[in-house]
Amino acid sequence: MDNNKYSEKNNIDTACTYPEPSDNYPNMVEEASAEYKASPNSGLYTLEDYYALPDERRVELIDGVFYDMATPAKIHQKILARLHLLFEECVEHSDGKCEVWIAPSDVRLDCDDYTMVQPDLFLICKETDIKEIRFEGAPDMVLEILSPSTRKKDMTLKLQKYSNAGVREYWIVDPKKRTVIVHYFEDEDYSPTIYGFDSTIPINISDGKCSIDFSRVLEKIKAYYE
Amino acid sequence: MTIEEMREKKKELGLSCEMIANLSGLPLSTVQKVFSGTTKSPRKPTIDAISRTLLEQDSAYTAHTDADRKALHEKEKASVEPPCMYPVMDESPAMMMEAPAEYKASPDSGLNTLEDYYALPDERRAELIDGIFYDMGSPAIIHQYILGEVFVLFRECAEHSDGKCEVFISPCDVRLDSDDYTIVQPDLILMCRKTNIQDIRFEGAPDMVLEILSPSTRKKDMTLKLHKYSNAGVREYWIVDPKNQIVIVHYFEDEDYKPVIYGFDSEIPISISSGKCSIDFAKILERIRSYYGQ
Repeated sequence: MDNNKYSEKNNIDTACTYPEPSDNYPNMVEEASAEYKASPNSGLYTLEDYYALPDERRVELIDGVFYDMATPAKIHQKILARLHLLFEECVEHSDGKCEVWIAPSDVRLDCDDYTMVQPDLFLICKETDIKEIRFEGAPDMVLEILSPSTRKKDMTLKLQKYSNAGVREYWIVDPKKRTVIVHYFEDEDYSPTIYGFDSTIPINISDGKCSIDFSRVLEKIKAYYE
Repeated sequence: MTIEEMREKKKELGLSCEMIANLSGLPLSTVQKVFSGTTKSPRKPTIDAISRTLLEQDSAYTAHTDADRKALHEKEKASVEPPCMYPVMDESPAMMMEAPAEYKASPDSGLNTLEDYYALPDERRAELIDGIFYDMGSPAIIHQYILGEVFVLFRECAEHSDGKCEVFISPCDVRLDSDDYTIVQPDLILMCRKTNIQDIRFEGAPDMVLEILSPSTRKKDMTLKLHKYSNAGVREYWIVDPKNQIVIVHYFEDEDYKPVIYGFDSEIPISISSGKCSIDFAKILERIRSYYGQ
């Protein structure tokens, strides 16, 4: 598969780079050709359909399928707000190469027409044009906060999508269980690590420069667990 | 009907590609490509569907009175039907390589299918996931050793339970999504429904799957297969990680599903056994240590 050639021929932003499938799955023998996706016979939704939706309808598009996003609960938003602050602090005190972004921001994860996600929080460690309407390709790091309705999706489907797209680190915050699952995909012996809300969690892609003290999140949401 | 005949009939009836698509239930682009000749050998079901539609419309058409027919002809002459052209996005050879029927079961997809899977030479061990082949190298000795040990423990468990479930060990083909694009060979599965001993493969999602990681399969087993198994309806999925000496248990049926990590020294409950069965990994660890002198 050569997504970049496809991009060039169709005047799609060529800054969108997509990792070689063999990076992720060394034994992958044949990658489905880009034409599979390009074929309109597939009955899948595309970016065009995504943009055509009415503004009130919040969805993500994943592999041509729409996933409705319900309005998040207060606890979700409180945690996100807190994390935004903590991540910004962290990033500023390190070499400042990365930037923090929060939902809603469109991320064209696979550089194709079939996936557009809106991660809760993500880090981009390369230059982006602030005038663009969306992000192209995989963020360096993604964080999602679970809702009851998104648990399975965030833990399995998105895990696979993010890993496959080249996201380097993926955090799943579980308010119900008060845990954070860290998936550091770049680790050769990659295995998920589970932290409690009382932990200080290192951002692996920061090479030791940054950690998030989750107790500072917990102190703001204590009332939720009483 | 030949394609030429279909073109004539289409013109005669004054039907656009869009109308034919709506009436036949075929995708618009399929219809366009057939009529424009882009698809050199359309699939038989496609041809049949278009023919049928045209003939149906024809009989409906012939029910009209002569006056109606005349009016329709006049209307056709007056309206300008856009040429039924497949909107070719680019002229690259890759685009035109859209495979005709004889090449692949699904002409437009470029994916591998069950047919391709079974056509592989016997020596080539591969899994097919969403139309893509993943080669399976010969597993390392430690992989097979652990698999054997795990199988024994699962068998014991299965016997002490009410015997509803049976343990199967690789290689066994599992047609996970009951479609033509995925056949996996999990290391070990639990089937809690009757299977016919004469079948060549398992259909649908096993109740439980266990995979033992190899360096080359780590990412795939932890992400891609995690999603595939969860999506297919597997109830419980264990990932055994010999390198880190842990077992990750994914009990998908849990409303508050989350992965649970056990060390090799643990006794791990089989969640779908509702408390009746556990696997004592400490026994396996002990045997590994005694054999490998660790």
